[in-house]
Amino acid sequence: MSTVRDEITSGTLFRRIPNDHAHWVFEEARPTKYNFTPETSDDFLSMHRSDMIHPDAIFAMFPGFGLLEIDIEVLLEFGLRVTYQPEEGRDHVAVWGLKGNKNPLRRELCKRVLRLWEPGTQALVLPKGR
Amino acid sequence: MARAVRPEHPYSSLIDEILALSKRQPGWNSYGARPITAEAQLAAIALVNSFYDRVPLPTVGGAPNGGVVLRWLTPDREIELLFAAAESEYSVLRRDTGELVVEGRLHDVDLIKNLIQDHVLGQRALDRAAGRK
Repeated sequence: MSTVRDEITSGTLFRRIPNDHAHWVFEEARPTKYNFTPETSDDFLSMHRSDMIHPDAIFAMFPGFGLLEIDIEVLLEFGLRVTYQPEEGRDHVAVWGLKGNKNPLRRELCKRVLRLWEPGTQALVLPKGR
Repeated sequence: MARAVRPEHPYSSLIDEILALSKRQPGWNSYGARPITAEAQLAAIALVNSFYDRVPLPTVGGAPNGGVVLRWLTPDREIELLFAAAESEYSVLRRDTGELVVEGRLHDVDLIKNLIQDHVLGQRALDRAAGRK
């Protein structure tokens, strides 16, 4: 069983996508770097553990939001760290290393997502190779 | 009696979209995004007010840091401007490969105009020459 601030090294994570042109290129059905940009007040990027919540549960809580799924091994490949932090929600994890001027890395992560659900419709779309 | 009809500014809908971003509350991205700042909106609108009718409409969005994002997609380029005070930046990518063409900090109006001229309008001129709309 994972405990607070345990490092996680396998599995996949979800991140919600706002229904917004800065976060989603509707013409090409793909996410942008802003989905991998931590909030100004945080040093980490918040995500959901996919082994602890179903996409439908996220859609029910956040109508109109899209979703992306990414493999934790991809994040580790780029030197990021993932820690389990359930104090902010049972399925909450923090991804460390995305703060600051990391736009090239954020764009690379966009290319490596596993699954995407479009903001607005919440329909599953296939990631396109770029 | 004939009524005077004021012609609509070609970019008024774009300015409306930028102004509408101010309705977003803190946390609008479902995480901890800042409200869109008036400074970012005014910077974006100042650029739009310098447009002339050959500049195509960009899409408008909000950044988590309270900035305003303008994005153009041409047949082979993605041009993005982020207005966010000291964090303002720009990027130009190739659409087919995602390869970066150029990026940097956005601190100079002339730089923005050159980006639009070279990557938004420049591509359109090439398209017209090639007979594409």
